[in-house]
Amino acid sequence: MRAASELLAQRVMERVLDLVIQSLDVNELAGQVDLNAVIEKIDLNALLSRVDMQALVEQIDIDAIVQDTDIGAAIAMSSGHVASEAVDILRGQAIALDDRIDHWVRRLLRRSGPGLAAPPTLLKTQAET
Amino acid sequence: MTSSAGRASWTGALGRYAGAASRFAAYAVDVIVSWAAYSLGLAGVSFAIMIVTGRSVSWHLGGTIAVGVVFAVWELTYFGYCWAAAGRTPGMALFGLRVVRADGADLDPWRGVLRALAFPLSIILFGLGFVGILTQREHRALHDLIAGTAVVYSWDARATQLRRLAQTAGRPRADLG
Repeated sequence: MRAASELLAQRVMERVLDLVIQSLDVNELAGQVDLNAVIEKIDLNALLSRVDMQALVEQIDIDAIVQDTDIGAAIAMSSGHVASEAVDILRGQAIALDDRIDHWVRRLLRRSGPGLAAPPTLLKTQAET
Repeated sequence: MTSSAGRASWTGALGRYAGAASRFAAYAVDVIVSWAAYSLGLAGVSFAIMIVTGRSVSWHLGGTIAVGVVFAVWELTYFGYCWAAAGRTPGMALFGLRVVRADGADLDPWRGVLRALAFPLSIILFGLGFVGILTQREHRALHDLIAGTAVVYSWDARATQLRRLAQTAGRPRADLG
């Protein structure tokens, strides 16, 4: 009899707690908490001084991390990207210089009209695209 | 580095006649590459002769004319083969240039060879053969006029820029962690 009443009381409590939790707006509650004030109260230096960084670092298996990382591929990809960018810059600068030289020559020859043109077939292809 | 106006001019350069600076720079690279390859070849031949006969060979004493002739043939082969096979030399590939027919169509191999044979004419005439690159509307040198060819930009800068933008967008940004 007593056990049955205890079970009933426990179920009632659980149900009540469920209802309370469901009715709580956690976002609103969190919004009311001044996190900045909380953070200001935490003494990070004191916290960090209690952490044994040396022991922490010793636990990291750097060899395993290095083995899992394909450093060769990363370096190749990175240097390939840099080389390709350098070539693009070189080409861009050369074309800009071409345009400048062409501009000067046209001024010297008192030639009007458009500067660099393209061959007919390529002009047609450009127009189509 | 490059102004936005300058960048706008070269993003639309694909297919246009190539100018003097790009062509000269490409030629300079080709001279270095072909000279290096020739020197390496000579060194290899010297080494082979030394191994077989036991005597060292000097290419500068007595054999100057022969070496000069071999060099001229090598240069013709280098440029002729590159233009005939691919329409470009390594230097032109570096600067994003391509030799095409005067009407813009792909180069026939025989025109590539003819261009290489006519190329020395532009040099022999005190370099006057190259003046057309500066003054002509189509930037064609004497050897271009003889072979019926032209040099155009083959580098698609716009596509390169778009590809790079896509790569940058796909990469996680450092400031966002």
